[in-house]
Amino acid sequence: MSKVRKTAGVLLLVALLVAYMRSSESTKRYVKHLLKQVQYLPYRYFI
Amino acid sequence: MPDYDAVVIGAGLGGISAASILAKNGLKTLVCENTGRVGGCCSSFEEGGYTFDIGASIVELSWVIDELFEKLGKKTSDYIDFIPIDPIYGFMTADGKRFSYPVDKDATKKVITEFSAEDAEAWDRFAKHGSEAINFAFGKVMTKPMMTFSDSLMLSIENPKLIKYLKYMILNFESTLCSFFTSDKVRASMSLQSYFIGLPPALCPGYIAFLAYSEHEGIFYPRGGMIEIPKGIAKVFEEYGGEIRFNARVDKVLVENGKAIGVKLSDGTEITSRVVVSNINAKTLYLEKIGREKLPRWAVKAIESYDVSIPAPMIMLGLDTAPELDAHHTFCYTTLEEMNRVWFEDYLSKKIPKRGFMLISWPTHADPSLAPEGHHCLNLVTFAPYELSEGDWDTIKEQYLEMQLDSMEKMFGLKLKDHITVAKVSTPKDFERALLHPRGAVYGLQNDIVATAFFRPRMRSRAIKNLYLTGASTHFGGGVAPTVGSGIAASGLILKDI
Ligand SMILES: Cc1cc2nc3c(=O)[nH]c(=O)nc-3n(C[C@H](O)[C@H](O)[C@H](O)COP(=O)(O)OP(=O)(O)OC[C@H]3O[C@@H](n4cnc5c(N)ncnc54)[C@H](O)[C@@H]3O)c2cc1C
Repeated sequence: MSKVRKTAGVLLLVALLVAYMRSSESTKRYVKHLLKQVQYLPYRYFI
Repeated sequence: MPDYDAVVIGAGLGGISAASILAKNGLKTLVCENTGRVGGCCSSFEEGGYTFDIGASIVELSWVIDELFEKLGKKTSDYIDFIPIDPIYGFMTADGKRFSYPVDKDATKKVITEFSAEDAEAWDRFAKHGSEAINFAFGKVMTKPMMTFSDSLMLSIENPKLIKYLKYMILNFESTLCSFFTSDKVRASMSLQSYFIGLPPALCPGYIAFLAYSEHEGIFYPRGGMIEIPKGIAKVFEEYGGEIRFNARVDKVLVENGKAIGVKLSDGTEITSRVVVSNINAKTLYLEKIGREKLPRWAVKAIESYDVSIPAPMIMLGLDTAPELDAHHTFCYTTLEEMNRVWFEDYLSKKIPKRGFMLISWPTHADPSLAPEGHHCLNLVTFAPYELSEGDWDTIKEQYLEMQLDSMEKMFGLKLKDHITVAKVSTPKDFERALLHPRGAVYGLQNDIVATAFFRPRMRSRAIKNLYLTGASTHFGGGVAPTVGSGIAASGLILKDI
């Protein structure tokens, strides 16, 4: 089961990476901008 | 026994709206305002016989204001005289083209046809999406708190259209616009709206793109200047026994055992209350008015993680003649790329944009009484950094004025210099000093999608009990309608809790 989950996780990551690589310059900038803030989301959720 | 049921810090739209509902519901309510007038960013002042607006220059989604007045048991038109604005925008492009978008959707379609027949068809689809997205998805949540996942789940169940339009919270503004329109000219003409929440098209959430449609459902200017909106609300507040103390700066929120118990003014006066409502920037509230030492560590980390929104230097001009413009608002621009470049190349490198874009508002077009007969007022708004790589705002004011007037003349052929009778520049530093907005921020906290809805500071604080927040730092962010909506939502929570 955990092997299936791991494979699914890896596939999802690869799919996301491919989608990112194929996206426009504008989308890439957007994603990068948002990713920088992701680490704060658990804190932001509670404030 | 506390002095008041509720003390509100700041008489901006969020504060005065919340206060008015609390007073209507019998709560003894005091508003402490640092300046001598109501409205904060949505206000006006007089100089040399002209009435200039401080910030906001138009109202869209005016039904939110109607909802507030309804909750107050009053009629908006008895307090505010809204003048419908048509056309919505005049446009001036660097290649000398001038055109305008009327309120009428079909008339706008005709204008778009001149650029691209394909985009004219796309306009119909955009308008249909926009109408649904604004009226049934995003608009509906504007007056409701959205503090948790379950709040948003409940709101999605109530408004299933929210789910349909969720993808526009994931796409950016630019991609949203480009998914409808192909012509560069059309895309550029609808790119200004991203800066209405203080972000360039590349970083702004996609759903904001639909503002370019929602304006076609009607935009308004209050007769007498933008201050007439908060003045109208404040009048109802006072009719219900509410009290406003002007020139009363709150220096501290009094906190005891993790609970807000009142405020301390800059003259040392302490006022106690059952709840404290903040209408000021959430970063200032938590880090300065409460203080790190009174906050849990996670709260400090959360609030420090937000950027404040972009500043907007403004030039206010009194003219001895009518300007050669076509509408209440004129958008002077070049391309959509340029709208992004201003951010990525100028703003982030602390440079004042030399080309860029400009929004000109011409309030005397709608309401001639704002200036002496035959004279006119203009506000020129653009965006620029708070800190500058060269010089300081206080020393370059004159230079900035000259530069902007020259660039308007050279790029867009707009000659104003010979007709100026009054000229005032409000820099980000002036804005900060006047309204105590940190770094001259115009829309509270930066409105990234990851600082929106339940990722924006809650209206009912979790860090400090009996503390409530309204205004641009809370869900739904900046704007006249959203901040009035935040006042409705926050007061609803207080009435439930108290
Ligand atoms: C240049 C500009 C143009 C804009 N154009 C538009 C537009 O055309 N249409 C639109 O819908 N929106 C526009 N907006 C946005 C809109 O005006 C604002 O988002 C909205 O008015 C903010 O309301 P608020 O409730 O957050 O309060 P604010 O306006 O931020 O008011 C806060 C109040 O608190 C007071 N205060 C601060 N600190 C203290 C303290 N320590 N003690 C006591 N009082 C204090 C301030 O003096 C102020 O009165 C514009 C904003 C700006 C700046």
